[in-house]
Amino acid sequence: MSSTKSLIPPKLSVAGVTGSSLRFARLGDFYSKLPKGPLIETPPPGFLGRYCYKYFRTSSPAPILHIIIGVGLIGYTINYQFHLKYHKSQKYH
Amino acid sequence: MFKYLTILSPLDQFEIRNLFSIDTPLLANINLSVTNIGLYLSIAAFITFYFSILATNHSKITPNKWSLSQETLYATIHSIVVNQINNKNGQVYFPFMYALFIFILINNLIGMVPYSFASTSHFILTFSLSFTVVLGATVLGFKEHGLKFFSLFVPAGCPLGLVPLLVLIEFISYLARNVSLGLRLAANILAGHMLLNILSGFTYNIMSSGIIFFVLGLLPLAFIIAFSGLELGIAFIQSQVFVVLSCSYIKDALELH
Amino acid sequence: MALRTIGNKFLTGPTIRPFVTSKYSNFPGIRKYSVSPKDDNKALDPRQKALSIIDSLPGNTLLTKTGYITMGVGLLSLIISKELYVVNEEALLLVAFTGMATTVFRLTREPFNEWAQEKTDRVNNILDQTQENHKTAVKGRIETVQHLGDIVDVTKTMFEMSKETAKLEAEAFELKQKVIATSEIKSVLDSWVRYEATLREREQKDLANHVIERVMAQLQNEKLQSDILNQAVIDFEKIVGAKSA
Repeated sequence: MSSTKSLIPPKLSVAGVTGSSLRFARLGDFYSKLPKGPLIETPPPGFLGRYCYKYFRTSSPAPILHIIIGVGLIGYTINYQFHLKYHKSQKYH
Repeated sequence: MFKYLTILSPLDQFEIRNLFSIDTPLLANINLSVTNIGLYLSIAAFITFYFSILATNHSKITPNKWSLSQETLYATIHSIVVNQINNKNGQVYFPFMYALFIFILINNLIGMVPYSFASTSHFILTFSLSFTVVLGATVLGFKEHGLKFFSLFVPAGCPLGLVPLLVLIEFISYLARNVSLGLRLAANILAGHMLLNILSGFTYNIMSSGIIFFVLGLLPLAFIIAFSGLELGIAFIQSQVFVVLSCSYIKDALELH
Repeated sequence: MALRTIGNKFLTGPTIRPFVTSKYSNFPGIRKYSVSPKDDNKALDPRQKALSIIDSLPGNTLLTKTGYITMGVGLLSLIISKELYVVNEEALLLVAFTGMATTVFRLTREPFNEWAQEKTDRVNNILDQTQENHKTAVKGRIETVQHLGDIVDVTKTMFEMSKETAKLEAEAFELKQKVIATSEIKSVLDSWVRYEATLREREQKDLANHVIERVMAQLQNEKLQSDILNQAVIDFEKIVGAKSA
């Protein structure tokens, strides 16, 4: 019996090594779908998109300044409406 | 004579005004108003929200500067919570503490912008925060320990004769936590803003008196700049202190000393 | 004693010198108000500084820059004169806040950027390294697998060879069996031959013995003995007669 067994050659061509398996096919599929070459970025349309593209993507500190200016303007408008317009050169006093 | 009339009250900046209100007989004369504090709290919510959105950096692995700054805040608060409450069980309270911290911090910072409004200088806001925290901690203590929670008021190893007195003192101090926690924050912010306003009022009067006085007034202006720098520090420190104390109160309720 | 020390201080030359020099070197104002090479460097190029200020303004050409500035100043003066912007105490706070914010920004920008860069670089390095490692791992795998590329053919030929070997081995086995069978038959036949040979030998020996016995028995007979003797004498005489003749 052992003599017949010794005659059979080792099964070298196992599935998975030669790329015939499903797993490797999926792996190849995944890699083939990955984008190649340098990243091409285009600013998205709209004001908000352009703003985000310009400041958020580069993580510049400008939005902090914009928020400060925006909050200050809102605050000034409110203050102006409520009391600052009554303080013009002591007109109303 | 006119000069005195034009001086703004330093407390004027803290006035709450209705910006937009609904007073309708349809809904049982309900009065819904958007006040300026509401507006600035909404702005703070928007900023907090967008700060967090920016910190995600479009789900990239590499952090940008926004994410790094928020991660630093995160790490700071996390270490505070972990050190104050408990290394393992304390983590449950981290989201609350972080939300508290970022809320107070952003509101403090918005309050620093000129012409804007300091929401955290209002006792109604800070007291509602502090009462909620302390009351929540008390509920937590009762839930964890039942009636044993009252042992919090008896210091360990005190002579029996002193117990009634000590319990009274401890109880008052426990009640005072409510007030002190909110008072600390609001008083700091309020005092800072008032100081800056009073200083600027004086300096403005000096500087508007003449050319020489204008130059002379640059010195107090430098002081104002320095004080506003101090305010920036206070904005951070007070929000951190609030979180640290909230953590220690929760820890007290959890562990009873 | 005190007088002596004072006298020593003022009378002996060498003690005076260090006193004077240390006094001057300890006076910080001297350094502060004197011109240092650092200040020289700063004041070296006012032209460059002016250019950098101009560069920081909005607009592309010098003309548009001037236009922007004029427009800005005009707008500001208009706003202030129309009292849309009311200059009061809060304006000072605005100035103070702007100053504070710029100072803080300028002071913190560089360290913050460096720190952030360091952190991002660390993450990027890890990612790049991982990518490299993955690449080398994949390449190594490809290299190890590459020489197994014709593994199917190799296996097929190996199967062919093994089939052949099996066939040959079967033939060899058959032949071996044949050889064994023939050798066995041969040994059997050989044994038969050997047996027959011994048998014949024994028969011949018996025959010879029998003949000898018979001859011996016949030799005991008197008549035969005289016959033989007579015959011998006759033969002798014949031989002698032949010799003498």
